[in-house]
Order: sequence, then C-alpha cells, then structure tokens
Amino acid sequence: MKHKNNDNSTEPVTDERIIRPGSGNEDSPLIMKRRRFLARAAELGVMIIASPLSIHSIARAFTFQAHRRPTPSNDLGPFYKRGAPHRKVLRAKGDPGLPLKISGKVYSEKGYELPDATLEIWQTNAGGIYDTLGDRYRAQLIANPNGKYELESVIPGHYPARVCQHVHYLVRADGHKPLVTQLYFATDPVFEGDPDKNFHRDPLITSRELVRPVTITGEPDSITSDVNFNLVLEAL
Amino acid sequence: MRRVILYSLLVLVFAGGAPDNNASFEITLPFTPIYKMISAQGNMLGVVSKKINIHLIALPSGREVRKLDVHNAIKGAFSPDGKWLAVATRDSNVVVYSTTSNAQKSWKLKDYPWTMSFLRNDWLLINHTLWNVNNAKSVMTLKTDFGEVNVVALSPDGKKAAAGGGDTRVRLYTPGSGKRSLQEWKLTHQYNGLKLEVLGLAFTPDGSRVAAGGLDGRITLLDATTGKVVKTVQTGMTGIASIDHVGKSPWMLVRYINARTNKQKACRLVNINTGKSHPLRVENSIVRVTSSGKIWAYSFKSDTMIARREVIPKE
Repeated sequence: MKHKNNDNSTEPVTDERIIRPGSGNEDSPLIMKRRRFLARAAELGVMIIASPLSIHSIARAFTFQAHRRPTPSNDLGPFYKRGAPHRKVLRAKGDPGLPLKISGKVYSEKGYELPDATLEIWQTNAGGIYDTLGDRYRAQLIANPNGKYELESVIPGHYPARVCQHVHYLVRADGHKPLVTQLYFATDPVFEGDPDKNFHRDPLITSRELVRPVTITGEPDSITSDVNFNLVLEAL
Repeated sequence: MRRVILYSLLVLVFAGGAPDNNASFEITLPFTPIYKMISAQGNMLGVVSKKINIHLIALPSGREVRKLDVHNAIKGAFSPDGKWLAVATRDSNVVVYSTTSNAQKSWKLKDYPWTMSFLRNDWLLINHTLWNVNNAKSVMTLKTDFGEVNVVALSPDGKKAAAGGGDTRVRLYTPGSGKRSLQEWKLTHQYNGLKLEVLGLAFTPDGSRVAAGGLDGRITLLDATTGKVVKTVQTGMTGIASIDHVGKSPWMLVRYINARTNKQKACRLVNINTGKSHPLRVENSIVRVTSSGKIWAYSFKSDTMIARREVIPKE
C-alpha cells in the first residue's frame, strides 16, 4: 500500500503507521498511546498546536553557535557620565584627529547575537581631553537586531594620566551582567608596533584581547581608520 | 651591620632633632622619590624609590621605619592612623604591611584592583569589597549597578554610611553594631540624581547630611536620614576629586583635579551652610586634614626635600 505525499515524493507507508486503536498492531505501546491521545484531542478540539518557544528561539536552536569567552572587563575610570545622547557620529565637522570607525557585534557567551543591547561609549577628543561638562565624544547606541553597532569618531588623544589611547564602553543587555571595558589600539605608538610584547606598558591593560588591530585606508588627504570590536556579555 | 649604617646615615641626614608633631618641618630624603603617599593624620610618609622599593618614613622625625620590596605595585593606601600600608599589585595580590612592626598580611583578589582606600583603620575597600585587614577576610560587598565603588564615608558617630560609585548613585546605609557590624549594613536610601560619577563624599560633623561631589564641581547635600536633596552648592570650580569635613566646622575641604592631567590642581574650603568658598594656596602640595581639623600641606621643595606647613584659611 502506498500513499503519495504532497511533495510528490513517494514513500512506503505501512499500516503500522496508521493509528488503529485496539488493532494490536502497536510495536511501541507508548508511542501509539501518545498518538491516540493526540488524535483524540484533535478530534475534540481541545488542543492547539503551539510551542512555548518563540520562532526566534526555535531558529536559534537549529543554528550552531560557538561559545564565546566574555570580553575582559576594564576600569570604568572617573569620567563616566549618565545620559549621553543617542548618536552614531561623535566627531563634528572640522574636529582634529584621525577619523575612526568602530564596528562590531554584541554577543552572549553562548554565541548568540544580542539585539537591543545598549552601548554607552566615551573617550577623549584628539587632544586627550574629556568633556565633563558637556557631551562631546560621548554617545549611547542600541545594537541592531543582529547585535551590530557602529560609530564614527576620531582616534582619541593620549590622556596624560594614562599611558595608552583608549575608548570606554559600558554595555548592557537583558539577562546579562553589565560589561565595563575599554578598547585600545594596536597602532598606539606606546606599543612600538608590538602590542603582544608591549601591551603591559599601560598597567591598566589587563588583557591583550582589548588591544584591537586598526585598518588604515584611503588617500592621504582622506585617510580613515577602522576597528572591529566585538563584545561578549556574561549571563546573569 | 647594614641596618646600623643605614640608621646612622639617616640620623645624620635628619639631624636637627625630631620636629614637634604640631609644627611645620622640612626633611631631606636620601633618595629621589618617584611616587609619594602620606597618611591622613600626616604621621607616615611612603615613597617609592627608583629601585621600586617602598620606603616607610615616620613623620615628622623622618626616620625610615621599614623598606618594602614590592614588585608590580599599582595602588597604595595608608590607614587613617598610619599604622598600615596596603599595596595592591597588578597580578591582583594585596599585601598590608604594618608600619610599626614587621607584621604583614596578604591575600589574592579575584579581580584587578581598580580602586583601593581605607574606610577605617581596619577596613580596606577594594573595588566593591570591604576587607578586614586584621584577619585578611572579606566581610562585605557593596552594590553598584556597574563600575566600582569609588568612595565610602562614615558619619562621625559611625551610625551612618554613604557609598558612591561609578554608576553615579549615592547609597546610604545604616551599619549594624557588634562583631558582625559590617555584614549588617542595611541600605536605607539611594539617590539617583547625579549624572557624573561620585568621587567625593563626606558627612557633616553632626552626621545629619552627606555632601557628594563629582567632576562637574557641584556639591549635592543630601539629608542622611531621608536621602533627599537639601541643596546644591556651586563651588566655583570643576573637577571635584574628594571632599573632607574640617573638624567640627561647617567647612569642607574640596580637592579638585585637572580633568586633562588627572592631577590635583587646587583646593578650596567650602562652607556647606552658606555656600561661600575660599581658595587655599597649596599648589603642588599634598593636603591632609587631621581628625582635629588641622590642615597640613606637604610640598616638595626639591627632588628630595619635603616641607610641611599648616594651612590657616582666611575668613
């Protein structure tokens, strides 16, 4: 006996696959009882086929994600200011300094992108000065549905009380511990071209991982720098 | 034998008799310090020499009481009475040295020591955790939404406490009493009205109010019982780094930092009742307020000469 499926493929279907209550043809009593229950429930209209999981979480379950190590935390420093404006462009027209584009994604430890993560970012201007009274070079960003964020700024100056150029991050997402960290630049002259060996020159750089490569592109009169900085948050 | 020679040299160097505890003085160090620390009561000086040793020097005598061989030190803090020096290293070790004997205690931290300060003679605050230096045990963790606890203040009677951190909140606590006093701190109020990190906190002498300040230069005066704002005082400067009450007077000593260099740039006395403020002429000095309200300025006249003078504010 053969049944034709809707997808035009043919598949042998034995009678054992048809629910026949009391037929005695049940090689797996547990399965057949469950099937019988489902059939009865469907007939009586007391059951709707639904999953407690969202489509998003089902999609996640079928996608292999590599686990990621949480991004090392770093000093908050004394210059954090609440309520920075929401914006992607921190540099103003005519600001001195090498234009910088930072992009990256926010992930969970399990490797999933974290949409709607909030990133607060602050840095000095190209002259190494923090704006404590205003909001220059301070911004809040919301990661997009793929966990991606990007911003445009300038390479920060050397803040005299610190050794290396750096950008501060405070990243928050539901169900995760807030991450306070800093981004450093592999091109920082302090490292003399060898951040692997010299990152300890700034006593506050506790992890080499926070020193990111910088890609310089463009013509001499329109040179820009790009940095990728992914962030991984630890679950609560 | 070496010690005898060293002490003999020091006696020669510091010849001229032990200065009075309440007097100004000048002493000359036998080496060039690269970093200096002075205890709150002004009785102990810690200097890091080029050989990365920490020399503990009693003040005002100038006698070296201990030389410490510490590697990778990144933070140092004296207890208020000057009897302990805590040193944190970049590999997250903490060593607390007695300045009166060879005793020392050490322990390992889970995190990098971002902030370190003594809250009381036996309570050491590192990041969020208060440690008892007598037994090197952690006894309490203070909460922040993120970032470290920057400063904790106790009221003069010890019955109230206030903590301020990177998350810009001021949290008011009622410490318990008895042996478990640290564990029994109860959060009573939380003030969320500041935008910048809380870097300075001090109770008024009667313990009824708490002054909180940050880099915008404003002092927010909170009622220590209700946590509500009593008033905001503009100090005429930006960059408050710390606040100390001056004895039992209504004056607060406010230290400012240069936001560019992160170095202390000025000090002012601010009357917390009237809002009046006076600059103190203490350029390039370390300023300390003793428990009796005396203000000392310690300045380095040359690479090796340190001078102390009392600062008497002009009304």
